[in-house]
Amino acid sequence: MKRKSSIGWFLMAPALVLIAAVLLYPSLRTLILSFHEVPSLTAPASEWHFVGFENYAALFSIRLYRISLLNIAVIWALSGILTIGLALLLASALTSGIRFSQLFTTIIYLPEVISTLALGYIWLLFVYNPRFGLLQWIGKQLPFTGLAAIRWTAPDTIFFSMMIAGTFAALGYFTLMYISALKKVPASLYEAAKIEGANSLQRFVTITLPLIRGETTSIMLIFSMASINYFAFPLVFGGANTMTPMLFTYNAIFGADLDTTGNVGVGAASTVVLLMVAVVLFILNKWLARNAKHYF
Amino acid sequence: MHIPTTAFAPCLAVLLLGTTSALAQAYEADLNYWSSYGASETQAEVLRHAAAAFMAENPDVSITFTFNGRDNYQLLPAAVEAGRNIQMFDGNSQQIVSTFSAFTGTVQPWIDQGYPWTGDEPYSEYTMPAMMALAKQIDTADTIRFVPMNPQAVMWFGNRAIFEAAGINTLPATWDEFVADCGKIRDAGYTPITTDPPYSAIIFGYYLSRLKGEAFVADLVQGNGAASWDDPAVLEAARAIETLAANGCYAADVDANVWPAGQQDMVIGEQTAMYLNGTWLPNEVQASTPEGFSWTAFAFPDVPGAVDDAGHLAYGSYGIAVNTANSEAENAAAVAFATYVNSKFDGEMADLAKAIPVGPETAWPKELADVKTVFEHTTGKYRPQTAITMNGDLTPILNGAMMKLVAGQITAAQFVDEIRR
Repeated sequence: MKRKSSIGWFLMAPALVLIAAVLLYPSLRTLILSFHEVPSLTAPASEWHFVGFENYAALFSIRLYRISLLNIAVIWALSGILTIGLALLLASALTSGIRFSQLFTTIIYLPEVISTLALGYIWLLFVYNPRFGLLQWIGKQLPFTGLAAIRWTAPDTIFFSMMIAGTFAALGYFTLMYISALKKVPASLYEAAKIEGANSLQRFVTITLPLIRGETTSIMLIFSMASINYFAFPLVFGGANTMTPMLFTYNAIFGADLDTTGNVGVGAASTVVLLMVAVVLFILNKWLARNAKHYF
Repeated sequence: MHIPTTAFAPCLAVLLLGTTSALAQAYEADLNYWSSYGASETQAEVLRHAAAAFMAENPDVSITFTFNGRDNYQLLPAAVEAGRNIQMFDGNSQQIVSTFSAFTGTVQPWIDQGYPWTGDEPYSEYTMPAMMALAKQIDTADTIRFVPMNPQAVMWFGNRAIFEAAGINTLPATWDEFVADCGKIRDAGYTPITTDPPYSAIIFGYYLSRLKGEAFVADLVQGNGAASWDDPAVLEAARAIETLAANGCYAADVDANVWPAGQQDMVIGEQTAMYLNGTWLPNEVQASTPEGFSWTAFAFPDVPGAVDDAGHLAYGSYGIAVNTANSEAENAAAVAFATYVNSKFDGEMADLAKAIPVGPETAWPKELADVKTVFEHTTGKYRPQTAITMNGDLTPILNGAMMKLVAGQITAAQFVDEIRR
């Protein structure tokens, strides 16, 4: 028995070393950094100046950071509902036996293979452009002026424009996950429900949803982590209204263009806050999934 | 025939004198150069040409570029501190003396010597005196730490044809003349001004700097000192811009501009007269600028009740700097190349990249002819893009609020409220 245990540790050792090197060490270093005033990311420890919780106090006193927290909360909630809801809807449609389902699946998944930055610029320059953007063109073809009148990139609307773009960018991945989950639900259950007289909605609510609850909680967790890492779209869309904590952290650590002052400690504090949010979301997710089972 | 050895003495003396300058210096170094220009930018093209020529003249020198674009200021410090083999780099001069300060060495000994490409004149005396003065002024170190390159300034840029169509023959020198000219341009059927978020707040920064001086604006945005958003001058500056918006000086949909929409629209559509931007503008839009497009430029005008006049210009420069970890031989070769770029290839930089030249004999690009006039009348200096951009945590908020103000969606008072919230 003892020999088996030592073999186990021996086999796990490479993975443990890797985890310690690429996960544990950076996390601990970031945590320690967050309590220091540090001139640059690679500055030696001799240049670190201990400031206690001052970086955290400074962080929450920055209005742009508070705006970024609010933004990410809205993205997590609204875009989460929209992305996961639409993905489930599309997956249901694509697994219902419609023609050209493979083609539609490919089209929906296409944004996943394009660089997120490029995707952001496509939306910004070719879809939302107020002069010659796709939405402007569509709006002008309609008999009413409502759509054409929307200025998608104006300060008050650009956040929602970014969120819509982000939703479509993520849709393909989650749709594919749901397609995989839905295909595993036994057809016999639907047939039995049909014989019992259940309509489509009843079959969806009483069979599909409970049987893919495990996958849904996994999808929610993946989406939550992706929300925390929301970076490329805010970078492209720019401005305070689209700022997210990840972009804020990046700027705090590496500096903003003409602002030549910087304290990496504040960026590290922001990273620690994000880590704590991620842990809370993970625990919440585990709690929501406590009775869920992966049936297949 | 016997020739006395003393006959060679004058020739020998000339040769020996030559070796006391850099004239006959042989450089030997492998230089890794990290640049703030993107690989496809015209400045990068000129740097590559210069490097090829320099290496041909100095076979023991190799120059390898890494063109990081503007992200260089974020990538370089970590790379240098992590021990990457980087001998030289370029960047905004303000970034060199602050963000890059810890690893930026002096270039003084090598710019104080002459080179074949400066006619053996010490480079520090050969190049534009204003840029050498700037290099001293902005650095707290008691030495010069970069070779100035591509001077830049922020001012009003205009489409000359629209000014002429509106009957404006003299460029505005005061704020009242500026507002009146906006009216003439609007009445002639054109859009007087455009902007987009990254440049939108500079008009406010310039106006306020004129009114209260740069130190006030710096204190205001950084939250230091006594400067306050409640100061009446803040509202006064915002009201001046509110008046522009109320007079139809900005397009109604200007708030939807996302950079580079404003500048592209200006040259492609040829319906917009002015844009407060940098001297890099003609270069950035040169690919889409129609033939025959004629640029004009003028300083941000005098404003009523100001402490600074229109002679105060927001300007700076790029610079080429060296790593403190370099050997003497690397520094000598790196600075020699930096001076080579800014003398022998100064003309190509002006031609291809529409850059302000630093060499005494180099002709200015025709697109920047009026910029030269502004430079000649400069009496004082503001930070590049004015001190309003000094706080990276505030700038995005300011830009967003300013886009609403210029679009006429909020009043000056609401603008100030939105910033000080």
